[in-house]
Amino acid sequence: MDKFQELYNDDNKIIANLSYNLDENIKLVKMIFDRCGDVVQKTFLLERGTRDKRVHVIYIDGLTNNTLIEDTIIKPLSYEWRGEESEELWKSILYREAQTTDIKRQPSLDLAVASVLKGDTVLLVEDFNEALVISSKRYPLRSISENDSELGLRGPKDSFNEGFRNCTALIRRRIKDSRLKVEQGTIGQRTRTDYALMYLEDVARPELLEELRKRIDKYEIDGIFDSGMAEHILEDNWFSPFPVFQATTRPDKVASGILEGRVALVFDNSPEVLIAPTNFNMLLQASDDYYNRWAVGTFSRFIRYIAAFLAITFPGLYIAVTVYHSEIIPTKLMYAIASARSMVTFPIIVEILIMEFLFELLREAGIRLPGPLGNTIGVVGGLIVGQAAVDAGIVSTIVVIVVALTAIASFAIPNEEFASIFRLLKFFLIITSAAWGLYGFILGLLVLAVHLSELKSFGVPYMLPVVAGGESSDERQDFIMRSPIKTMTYRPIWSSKKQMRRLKRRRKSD
Amino acid sequence: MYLENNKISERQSFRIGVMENIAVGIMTVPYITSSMSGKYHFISLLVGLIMLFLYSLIIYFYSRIFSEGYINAIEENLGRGRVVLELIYILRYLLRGAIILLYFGSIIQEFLLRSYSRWGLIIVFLLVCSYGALRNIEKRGRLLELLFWWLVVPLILVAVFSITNIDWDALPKTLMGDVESVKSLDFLLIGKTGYTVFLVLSTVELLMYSLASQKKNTWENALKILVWIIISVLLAYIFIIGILGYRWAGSESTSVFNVMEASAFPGKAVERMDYPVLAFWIIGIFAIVSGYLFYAKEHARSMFGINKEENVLGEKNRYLRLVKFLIMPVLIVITLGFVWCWTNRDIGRYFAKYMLWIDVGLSILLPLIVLIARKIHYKKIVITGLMFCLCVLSGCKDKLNNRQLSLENRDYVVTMELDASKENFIFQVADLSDYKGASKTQLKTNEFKFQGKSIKEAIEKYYEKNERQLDLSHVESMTIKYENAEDAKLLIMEMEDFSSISKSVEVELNKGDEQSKKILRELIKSVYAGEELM
Repeated sequence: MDKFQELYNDDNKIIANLSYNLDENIKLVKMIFDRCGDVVQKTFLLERGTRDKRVHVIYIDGLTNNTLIEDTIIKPLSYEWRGEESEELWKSILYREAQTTDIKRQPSLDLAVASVLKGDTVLLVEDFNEALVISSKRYPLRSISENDSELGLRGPKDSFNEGFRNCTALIRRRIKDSRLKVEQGTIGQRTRTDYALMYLEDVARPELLEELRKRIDKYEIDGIFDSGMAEHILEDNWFSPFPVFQATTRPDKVASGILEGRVALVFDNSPEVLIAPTNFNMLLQASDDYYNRWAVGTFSRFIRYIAAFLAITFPGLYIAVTVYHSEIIPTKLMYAIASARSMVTFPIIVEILIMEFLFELLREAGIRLPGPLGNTIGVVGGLIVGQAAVDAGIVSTIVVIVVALTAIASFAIPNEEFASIFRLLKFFLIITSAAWGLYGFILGLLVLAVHLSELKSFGVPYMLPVVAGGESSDERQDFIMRSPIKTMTYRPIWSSKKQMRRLKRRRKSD
Repeated sequence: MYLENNKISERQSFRIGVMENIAVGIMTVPYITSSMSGKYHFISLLVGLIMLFLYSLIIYFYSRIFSEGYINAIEENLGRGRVVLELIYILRYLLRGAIILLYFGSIIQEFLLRSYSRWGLIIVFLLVCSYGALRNIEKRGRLLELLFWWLVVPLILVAVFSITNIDWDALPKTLMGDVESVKSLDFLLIGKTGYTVFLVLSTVELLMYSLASQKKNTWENALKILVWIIISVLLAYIFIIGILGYRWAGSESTSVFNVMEASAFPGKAVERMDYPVLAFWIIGIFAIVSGYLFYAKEHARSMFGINKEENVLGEKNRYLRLVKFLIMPVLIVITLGFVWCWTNRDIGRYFAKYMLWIDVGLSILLPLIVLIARKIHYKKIVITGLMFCLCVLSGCKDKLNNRQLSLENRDYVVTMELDASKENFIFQVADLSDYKGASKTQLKTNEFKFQGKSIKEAIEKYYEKNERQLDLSHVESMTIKYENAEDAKLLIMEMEDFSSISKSVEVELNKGDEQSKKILRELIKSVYAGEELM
């Protein structure tokens, strides 16, 4: 206990410093990495003219590229000394002997240890009170694979993976501009998760960046394992079901967002990159919209808006109409509903809740099970259980249609996080409609409207351009109707005023 | 980018202005003019609209003068005396909100939820309105901006789908035809009615706040709002009177809602449009009630000096937080109290007198006092004036029977045969036991015969023998046999009271050998107009 109190402060930072005495430094490091079986430490004796010098190497097995260390550090230092005896060893290693460019001095022991934990290799040199950090990370990662959560028929198919550098590289690959900045830092006292703010320096608004930096610095947390956790810390309205960040696994979507003056937040170990600000409209957009012809893109969006409306309202509306206001239903359809329900034991509300619960259960089970089994559960649940439930008089055929249509509608929403909110809020409207029919249905919608209209994502109204718009005609060019790319000449309103124009005709003289 | 500066855009101001002012007016004005001044209904409406125009000029004038915001102007110019004025405003707005709530509750109960307590409906709605009123003017601007088309589109749809029900050739006569000459006009009656119309539309007072909060208060936007309100009221008026006739429209405060049923969705994909449209009309009422609550809340905040003290004491001050937290619950309680007062016959009459003669006067007088206070800096006079106003101010059924069972437990009446002279009622009820879909089976029916003086009595006799609900909402056709036209008229008028019976049903009239077919709506209209049935 005393040992830790000496080494670490309340913020979990190492307070001890490196000294000129290598033995003391080694002792300190061994204390820090006591009982850490994966940490490799070895002291080498290097012949330097008339006397031997020692260096201590530290890295973590499994996170480090061992071959690289062997080839660029150990071998050159041990067998290829070409320096002068009088030269200080650390200088000789740094500027002459190490055969790698990514080597730097690190005076802080805390940061040196942090580097080791990230997969870098640290060299402690005799008679030198700093560490030399060599970048040698090689994480166990899956390769860049085809996107399976945000599919599109046209356009790139790659997706982010858990590798921090892979993610930033995939974005950098798309925006080859030196003004694309990658501001890096770490978050999480224990996990020390790397993150990066990526933005175009001249297009993103400084106040947006400032706000993001402020929010990141606002809390101290022990660990961040995914961008989802960070998202919840960085948002204002934790009680709101709606996300104020857009989370995506598509590099093209992030690159496009950055070009619009938005800021991307990349987190290590997370294949989802966050983009801010966002709004309701953006979460219903898909990348294909821009790759397909404008009319097709517009039509798809229109379908998605209807789907979003159905996903949230259809069961509630069905209850309101069938239980309270059957006058609205065309006569023959009503006879069909009444006839179908004549064998059903439960009231309509219970019927809907049973089916919705069954559907959510299948969905949850399908996610947890491996691929082929997941499909099987869909078939078993959807076809067999559904049919059996109808035959047993638990639910009517119409309710199966209502629930199935609602489910299909929710799958048409391109953002999974957003779609799940719709599935959740559907229950809210089911309850209000069950209590007061159309009256409750409208009141439920009003409550949602009040909430959505007050919601902002980093200063941008969530329902833009439906609300707070009207300033210019360009704001609607990327709404339900996706205008032809040729006519989308300006960036959205949240980008820097100096860089509003994104498309112009090249002059002949150019 | 989007600053939190308590300013709203021109579009937001426009939409707030329109939404806060059309929902009540469009559905009540036809009833008021028709019931109060009969054949002079349209002239009365025009008089009312002229008054509205003049009143709007005053309101616009105030909004220009108090460009810093009316509530800010009160705070800055009246010192402690503002408490009295703020209190008057709070009470005025809650009183106005309460009467709208009461009217709204009755409509919703009668047309949508007959088996529910009116109080229950009002309380739920009031809670939602208060949730909408909790925010600042910017958020309110965004909210009404979002809801604008939710209200306007259904209204446009009703207009489009019901346009064929208007006899355009007869419309000029319906509007003005009964008036022989200018000399024959009853000016006093027209004036009174016009004034009442103006009172209903005097919600435009709230423009004083929204226009002043606009980033740039332009007369063009104010004019646009006013034109929208007037055109909406006029168009709704023409549709209602054109379809129902002024006698039917003036028969009951709720009769104008029958117009919504006249609209038919193409292909009958929606059997009756009145329910969905009524549901969306709720949004308009939400706009105005939440508006009154919102401005009452803003006055209350000003009364307690919350805005100022927040700057000095900071948002975390306990006292401020408590007061801020309590404001809305207290306003809700007062509003409910006022709703109860409106339902009390004696107090309600007292309030009605106040609304009729004093309230609008106050809406002009009070800003004038603030203006004078700003100009002369003579607070005593102002405070005396306020006390006077306060003195003036201070002088100043539940569940409906309706059986509601689930769809499969109902008997759907397909046709009705009503014999007015023999007091015979025959209901052909759909037998769905073997029903496999419209294309596969011929619909079987069962016949039920009852004796009774009215439809209601026949239905009661049906319930004596049956537990299933008799559903009249899908009657496809009906036949009325009669010898004496008055008997048939009684039956037709009874059907008007059944909101579940579609007014678009075809009715076959049999009087001896004579036969004719008409739409029920036309028949009701004829009865009100005193015309022949055949």
